Amino acid sequence: MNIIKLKTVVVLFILLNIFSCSKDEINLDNLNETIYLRHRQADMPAHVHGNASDKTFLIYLHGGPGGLGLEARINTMITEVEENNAVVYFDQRGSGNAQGNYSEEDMNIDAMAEDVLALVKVLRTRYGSDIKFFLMGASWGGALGPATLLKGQENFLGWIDIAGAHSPKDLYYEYPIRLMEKANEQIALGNSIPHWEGVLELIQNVNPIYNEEDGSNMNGKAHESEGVLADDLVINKPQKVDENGEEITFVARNNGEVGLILTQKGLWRDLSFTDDLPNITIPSLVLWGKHDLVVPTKFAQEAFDHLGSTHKELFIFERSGHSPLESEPDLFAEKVIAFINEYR
Amino acid sequence: MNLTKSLLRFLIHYSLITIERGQKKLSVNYLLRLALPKTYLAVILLLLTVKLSAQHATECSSFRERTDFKVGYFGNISANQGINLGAEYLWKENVKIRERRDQQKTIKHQLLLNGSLGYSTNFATQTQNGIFAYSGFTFRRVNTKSRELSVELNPLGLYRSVLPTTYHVEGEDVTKVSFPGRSYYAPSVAVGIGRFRKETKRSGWYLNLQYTVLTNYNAATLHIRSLHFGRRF
Repeated sequence: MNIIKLKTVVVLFILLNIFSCSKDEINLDNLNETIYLRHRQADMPAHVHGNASDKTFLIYLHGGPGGLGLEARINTMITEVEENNAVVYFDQRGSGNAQGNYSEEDMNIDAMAEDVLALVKVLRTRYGSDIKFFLMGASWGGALGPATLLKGQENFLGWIDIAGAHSPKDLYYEYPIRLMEKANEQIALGNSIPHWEGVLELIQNVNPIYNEEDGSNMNGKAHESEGVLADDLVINKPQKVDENGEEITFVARNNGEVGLILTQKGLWRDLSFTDDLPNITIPSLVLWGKHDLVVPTKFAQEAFDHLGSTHKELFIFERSGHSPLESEPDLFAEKVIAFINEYR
Repeated sequence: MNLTKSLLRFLIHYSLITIERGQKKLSVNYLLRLALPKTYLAVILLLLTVKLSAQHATECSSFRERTDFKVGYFGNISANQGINLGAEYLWKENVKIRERRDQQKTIKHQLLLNGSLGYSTNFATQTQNGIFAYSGFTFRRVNTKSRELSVELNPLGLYRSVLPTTYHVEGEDVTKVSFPGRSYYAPSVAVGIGRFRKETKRSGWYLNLQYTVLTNYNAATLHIRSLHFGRRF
C-alpha cells in the first residue's frame, strides 16, 4: 500500500514538473523572444523585444516589399525605444524569415494587412488582452500601414509613418522631378558631378508612361544617389549598430518573390492610398528625411495633409535620406518616444 | 533457460529408452535433466553461438565493405549552420585498369545509394531551424591516388522546419500550435571532391557543394546553396 502511494506521489511530481516546465515564463519588463504567427497558410516571425511593463507595443512594418522586420532593430531602436516600450519586429508574408505554403493569390496587400491584424490577436493572447498598440511603417511599410489601419485602426493608439510609400503608383512620376532637382543642385555645388550627370542621363531616357524597367532603374538610382549624398556629407552616413556599437547585419531566407508578385499585381502601377488617408483618424506622426530620394519628400507633406487625424505632426530630418533611423538615430528615437508617451 | 526446456521437451517426446542404473530405472528425461545443464547444453549453445556468429560476420562484413558512414558540417558558413549524418552504400562498381608506360592506373566508377539526416539552425533568431532528410544516388570516380570526384542526385528530400512558439489565427480564434513547423519537398544535387584514407581504402574526407530546392516555399520555391564537409568512416 505504501509503495502504491509512493508511486502515485512520484508520478504526480513528475507530471507537475513537466507541465510547470512547459509553461512559458514571460517577463514583461524585458521581453526578448521570437514567436510565430500562422495565418492563411503563412508562418511569420515576430521578434518581440523591450520593456512592456506598461503593456505598450510598437509594431514595426518593414520596407521592401520583401524586407526584414529586424532591419529596424538597430541604433536607438534598441537602446532607447525598446527601453520605453516593447517593439515587435514583424516579418510580413513572403519576406524576411517568413515561410509557408500558399498560392500567389494569397500574396496580396489585403492578406498582408489581415496578417498584421492577426498578429495583434496573437500578441493579445500571449501578453494580455489589455495591451496597447502603436503601428509604425517604413517605406513599403508605409503602404501596408494604411492598408492595415483602414481595416482596423481601432486596434491602434497611433500611427508612425516613416518615409512611407502610401501612393506607390505616384513614385514613377515623382522620381524624375526629384532626381533631376537633386542632380542639378549637387552639380551646382560641385559634388560627385559624374554620378549626377548619369542620373540626368537616366531620367532623359525614361518613358513618360509607367514602365516597370524604368521604374526599377530609377528606384535603384535613388538608392545609389543617397549613398553618394552620404559620401559627400550632405546627409549623415547611415549606420546600423547593435547595443554594443558593433555593425549589425541580418540574414533572411526567402526567394524575394513577394516583390515580383506584388509588382505583377500592379503595386507600382495602380496602388494608392492617398484618397483613403482621410479615413485614418488616429493620432499620427509623419517622419521624413529632407534628402529622401527613394520616397521623395513631396509624399511627406501629402501624407500629413491627407491624414484624417486631428492630432498629427510632420517632422523633417535635415541630415537624412530615406532612413532617419540610420542617419539621425538620436533625434529619431526622441520623436518616436515623445509621440508614444503622449498617446499611450 | 527457455531453450533448455524446449530441448528437453523435444528429447523426451522421442525417447522411450530406459537405462538400468543399479536397481533403479532412470528415464532419459531424468538423465538429460542431469546432463544437459552441465555439459550438453553448454556444447549445444556454444555450437549455436559459433554458427550464428559466423553467419552474422559474413553478412556484416559484406555490408560493411560496401557501406561508408559519414558525419560532417553542412550550412552556408555565414548564417546557417548544421550537422549531417549519413551513409553511402556501394551499389555498383566498374574498375578499369590501364597500363601506361611503367605504371598501372586504376580508375573506379561507382554508383552509390546515399541517405542523410541533418539539423541546421541560424542560432541568432531561431528562424531557420529545421531537419533535412534526403536520399538518392551518387556517381563517383576514384583515381589511382584515391582522389574522388562525385555528383550526387537526391530526388527524395524532405525539409521540416522547426519553429518556436507559434499561434494559429483563424477568424477570431487564436490557438497555440503543437510541434510547429512545416514540411517541404526538398530535392537536391551536389558536386564534390574527396579522398579515401589510404590505410582503409574506403574512408576519408569529403567536400560537397549542394543545391537544394524547397517547394512550395511561400508562394514559390526557395533555393538553398550549402557547403558539406566531413569524414567518412
